[in-house]
Amino acid sequence: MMEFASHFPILSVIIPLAMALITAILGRKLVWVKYILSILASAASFILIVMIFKPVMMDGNIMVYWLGNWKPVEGQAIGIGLGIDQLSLFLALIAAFVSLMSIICSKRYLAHEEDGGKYYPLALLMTGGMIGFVLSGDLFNMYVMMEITVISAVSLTAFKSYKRESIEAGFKYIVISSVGSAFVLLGTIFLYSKFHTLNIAQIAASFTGHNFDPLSILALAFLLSGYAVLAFLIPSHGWAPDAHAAAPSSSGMMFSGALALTGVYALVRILGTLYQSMDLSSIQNLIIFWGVITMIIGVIMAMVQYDLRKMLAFLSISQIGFIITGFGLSTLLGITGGVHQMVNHFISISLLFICTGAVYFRTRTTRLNELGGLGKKMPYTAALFIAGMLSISGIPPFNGFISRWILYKAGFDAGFWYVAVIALLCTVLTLAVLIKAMHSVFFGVQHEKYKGVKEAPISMSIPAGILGLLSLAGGLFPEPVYDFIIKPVTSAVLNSGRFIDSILGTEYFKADAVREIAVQKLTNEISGYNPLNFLIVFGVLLLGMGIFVFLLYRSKNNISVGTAAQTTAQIAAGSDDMEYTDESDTGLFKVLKSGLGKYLGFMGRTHSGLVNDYSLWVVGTLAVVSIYLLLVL
Amino acid sequence: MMIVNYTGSILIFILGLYMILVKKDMVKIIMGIFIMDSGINLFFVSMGFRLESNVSPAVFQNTAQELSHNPFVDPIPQALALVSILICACVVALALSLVIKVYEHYGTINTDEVRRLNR
Repeated sequence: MMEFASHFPILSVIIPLAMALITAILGRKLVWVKYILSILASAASFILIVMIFKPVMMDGNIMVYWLGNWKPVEGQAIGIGLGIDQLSLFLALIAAFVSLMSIICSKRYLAHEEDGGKYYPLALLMTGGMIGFVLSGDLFNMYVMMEITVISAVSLTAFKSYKRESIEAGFKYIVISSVGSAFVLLGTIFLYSKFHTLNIAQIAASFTGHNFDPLSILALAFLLSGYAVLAFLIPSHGWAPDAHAAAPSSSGMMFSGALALTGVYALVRILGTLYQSMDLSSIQNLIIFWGVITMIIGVIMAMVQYDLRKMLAFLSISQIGFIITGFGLSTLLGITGGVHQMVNHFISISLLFICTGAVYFRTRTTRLNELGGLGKKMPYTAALFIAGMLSISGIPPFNGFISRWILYKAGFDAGFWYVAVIALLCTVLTLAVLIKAMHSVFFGVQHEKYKGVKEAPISMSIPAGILGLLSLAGGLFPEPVYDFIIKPVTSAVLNSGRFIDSILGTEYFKADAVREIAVQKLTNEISGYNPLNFLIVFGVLLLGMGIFVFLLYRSKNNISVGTAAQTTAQIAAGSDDMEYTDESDTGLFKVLKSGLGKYLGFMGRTHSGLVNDYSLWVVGTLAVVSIYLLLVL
Repeated sequence: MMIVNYTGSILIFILGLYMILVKKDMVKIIMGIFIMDSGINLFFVSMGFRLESNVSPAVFQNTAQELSHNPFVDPIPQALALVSILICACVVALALSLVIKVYEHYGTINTDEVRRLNR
């Protein structure tokens, strides 16, 4: 059995890729067959990953698979290896699950498309690429799998090729991501030229004791800023909001729920395993700074959006900032919070995207000012949207609460109290943004043209229901989630030396017993949290924000409708393009927006929509990161 | 001798990057992507050819000593360069097909005018 099970990881990559080929050559009449085959392939890959859950997650083994059985000789890796530790398996589980859900609910979306069957090969390629990316133990294979994922993601973004927004977003995505991929490739070559190997474990074994030379520091900067494009960390996020808004909602769910997390995985793998440098305070400062910037700019940009999917995309960027901050804190509590936040992020953002997709499917729009009063027509979707909203903004009893709590506590414990305060502020703003979205979509005045709107179709409501139940269960029973998933993954991130030893069959690193004991002990500490403290702080912040808004409202009572932010939008968007102005906005948020437009409007204006600017941001990130790393390391 | 190759490949890379950052014509941007990847491939191949201490990962101590006066080229970077060329071709093909569609929708391929999605 065990001998046979060792082939499961590679099969879980091969099956979706092979099925992508089969679904691509089937005729266009056979959409149903393609749908069933895609569900079968992604379900098979999900089941194969679940079947290695027990040996890896529960028994704590690390699976190593050498393609063609080219085992390492004398501690030198010659073949292409897959290394599956708890972190990789966790990400593979997320990728396979989100892809399965996304393929299930994509069916009705494509009913409107001319040739919807082409969606399935692309979605399967993306699934296989993501799973291969996280399971790979080889730098160049990570690059190749990332390219497979990105090329299919670009095609999915431009899937509705009759809409100009999709084409434009696809073009931006492919240019920005090829700059990022070029950086990743160059970083990989730098490392190869020094170590003559591509295996992560073998390179990492050379880095014991932080003996970095300038070439490997430069390689680190290239790899970090390249994979930041995949994880859409600000300022490399230029493609993300447009791609989310333009792609079908089911693939938007894959972008935020799985693709971004694989980017985070790459950052953690490179910093934690490849360079063994998570314990350096200079690296921690960089990652925390990056995470905080991402967190705060993401949520502020979400406040000024008029499109529901774009708003969710910016919220998702903000969530990735939370995760990165957790990993950057690098304490036991911080990494636990980051991993937990990953679980919550993929559940809640997928739920929100499915609900948005259902709204789009019934009304053919996601503009916040055109929607309204759908709550009566779509009560199930509205309830699930509210569940996702509470879950993503960390309100008990949903799952987001515990991870937020751990992150705040980790911030205070590690001495970064301002990080904790900013995180709390971002949580409040996230809730505010989503309350606005909920208000303008599901409540308020019902438009005449939405009289005939029906409830979401069954193929969307089943995945949404599953995700809603998961988010509720994660909040009500945190202990099993912690024991079976969070604890092994945290332990794997902390003891990355075990990964290296298992792959090479050496004993460079002895598993650190102290950290292991600490991971075991954390359970009591986490289950002993006090929700009341959190609620008090939350209430105080909400009150403070209310007073702020009230004051702003009084001082701006007599301003005209066209605020500064909106007029700049009209100018930038061209003469005939008025679609981003919002005439029917409610008083409170108009005031908030005009206030923000005065002080923070530059953030909106920097999102110029120019692909050259967005690429420049990626290059600028590389410049800043490499200068910083060369100075401090 | 190899320093010419290294400098040349980095210069080609920077030239491609410059085209992506500065040129407003979409086709020129795609040419920039291609040139950038060509620079990387040249770097790959030059790095595989090292006259001094050229030990490929597949060759271990005993064989390496025998071959030390008999230099040969590291095969792995060449294989990687082939994969990289393949991926670059896919990216360029996809991007060019998108440019055709952009021209259909917007009537122009100037990036200054193709920016309806902003903020």
